[in-house]
Amino acid sequence: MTISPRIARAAFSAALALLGLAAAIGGWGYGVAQDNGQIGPGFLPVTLGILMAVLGGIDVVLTLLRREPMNVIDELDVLGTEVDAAIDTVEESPDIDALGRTQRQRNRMLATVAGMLLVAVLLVPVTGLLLALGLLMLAVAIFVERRSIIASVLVTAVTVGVFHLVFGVLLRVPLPTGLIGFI
Amino acid sequence: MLENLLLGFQTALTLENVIWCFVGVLLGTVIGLLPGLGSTTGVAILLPLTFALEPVTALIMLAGIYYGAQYGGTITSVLISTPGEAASVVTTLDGYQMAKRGRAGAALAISAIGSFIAAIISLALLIALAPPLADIALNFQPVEMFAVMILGLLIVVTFQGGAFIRGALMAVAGLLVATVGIFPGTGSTERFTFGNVNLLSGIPFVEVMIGVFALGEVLYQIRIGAAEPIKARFKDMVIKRKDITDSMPAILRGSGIGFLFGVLPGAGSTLASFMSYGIERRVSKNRANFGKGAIEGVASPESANNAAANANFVPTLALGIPGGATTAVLLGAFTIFGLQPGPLLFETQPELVWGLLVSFFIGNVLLLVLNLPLAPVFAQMLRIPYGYMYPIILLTSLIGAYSVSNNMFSVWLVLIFGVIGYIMKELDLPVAPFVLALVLGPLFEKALVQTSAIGKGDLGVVFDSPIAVGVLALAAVLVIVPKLVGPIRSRIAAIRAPSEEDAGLR
Repeated sequence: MTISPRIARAAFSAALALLGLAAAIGGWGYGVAQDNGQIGPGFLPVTLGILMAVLGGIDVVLTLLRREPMNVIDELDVLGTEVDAAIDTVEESPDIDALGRTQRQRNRMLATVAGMLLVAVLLVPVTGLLLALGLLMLAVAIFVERRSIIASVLVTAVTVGVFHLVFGVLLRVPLPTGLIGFI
Repeated sequence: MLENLLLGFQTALTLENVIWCFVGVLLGTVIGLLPGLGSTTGVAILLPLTFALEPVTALIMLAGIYYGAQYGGTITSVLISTPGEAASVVTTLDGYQMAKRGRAGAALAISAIGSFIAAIISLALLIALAPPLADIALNFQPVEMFAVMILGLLIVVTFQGGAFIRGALMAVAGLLVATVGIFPGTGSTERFTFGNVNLLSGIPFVEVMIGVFALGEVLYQIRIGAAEPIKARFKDMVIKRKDITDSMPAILRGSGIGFLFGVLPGAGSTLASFMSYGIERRVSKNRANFGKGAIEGVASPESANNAAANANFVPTLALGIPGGATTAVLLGAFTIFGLQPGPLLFETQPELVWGLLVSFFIGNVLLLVLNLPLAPVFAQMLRIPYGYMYPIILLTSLIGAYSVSNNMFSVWLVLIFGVIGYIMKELDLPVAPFVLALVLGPLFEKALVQTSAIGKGDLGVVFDSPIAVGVLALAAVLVIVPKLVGPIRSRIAAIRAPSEEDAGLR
């Protein structure tokens, strides 16, 4: 099942509107004005929260009614269309990319890379930052990009080595080494 | 003035600074031409690498990346109709048509020459304008600064090229994110920190930028898919004298338009290039060939985006208000090095300011020398598939973010804002208003608190200042006029259309 961009956009704006409301309510608790009459800690969160809720609400309505608000400068709109057309002339079919991957495969790749990223960051306390990100790079090269294992290991080793030299040795950034305590 | 320039040359012409300037413009050219990387991403992820350098050297290198990327972005626009930089988008129209007719060399050469001339003109204007503006700004009280910041925010929302409501929504979201942390008015009240000590000083915007621009872009590119590796051929780099003379008016007009838009806080080089192309298409003698490979259609926007890139430094240096997204990251770099951009910077750090300004001149000479003969070599970089690049971008982003504060919290912030950045790109929501508002947020609130203190709680004190009223009136005009122009123009067109039809019938 795919969500239409219109619904996704409306949902995002609705989420922002709700976030705005939450910020306004939270901000109210901090106090909108101080005892001396000057603005308090909650003034800006309340004002911006209400503004965000209103703007988000308007955007939801406009998006669902399919009434795109007027572009500010018509000229840019026309040019934008022309540029899109010019770029389209050299683009591949939108569904299959140059490596023959379908949109579905690419969506899966995106989810895989995002998941690997999360795992890599969670691994940092164990392996250390450089090693965790090295493993991420290796996993992306082998499992997502389907590169040969030897080439992937070599490229990863060289990259991790360069990063260790630049950040660890040259810039003396105290990179977390984790439980392993290697690099 | 001459003394300052001399000081600038003394600072910028040391061997170390020239080398780092060269490194910056070279990296900038490469970053600009690689699709998926832009000057903002480039400056954000390479910022941590400059921590070991002297502040002036680091800023010279980072600024080099910024304007180097304007040159690099052109190469892809001309050769493969895929702009490497947003500011080069409009160059695809005539640049790619020229390339298809075997005139890629002339297109790249005129864009390098145009960019150089524009950079020099805008640099002269920048040197002439920034110090007096800083002098005027020294007299600005919080009330006036508050008005200038409203102007900056309104400009970015109005001219970001999309719908006003969404731009405003993103700007408000950015300002709201900036309220996280301790309230500047009391110095003790925590807001939205949820007991996390890392949030006490607010959400650091360098990490946000790395997340939104680098990680968000990587995720987006993965979903978009790989483009065909490029086989850029280059037959000749010869440009005829006639091409240069034909393009000169376009270059000069582009430089002027670019500077005007670049000076406005919040407007950027992308808008400048679009406007300059639009105007050139109306006034050029060769307007019939626009869109079919007119050399003026390359010269004008390329001059404009470079002029705007330099002009962006006027509000950044003189007012401490970034001109665009990349100068917003550079503003972050200033603060990391313990410098506060703004009117006082010209008095307290003349060596740094003038060294930086003069380095633009040196950088642009280097870029011209690099780009005229080496464009075909740079074009070979386009053969590298994105699949090889993005794992390295991921590593650079996360390690770079960590090294900004030596804290894993920064890495988590990059992940969170990377996802947000991806969603924004996927939903075509404007990023610039969000980023600029995030950068301006703390300054905006500080000015608001001070204004409230001056007015003893009454914010209407803003209207007691003629300067603030003038600035706010300008902001109102900038918002309202474009909204009126569109309907009026279509009404005039509607009136004209039947009368032209009648004329045709007769």
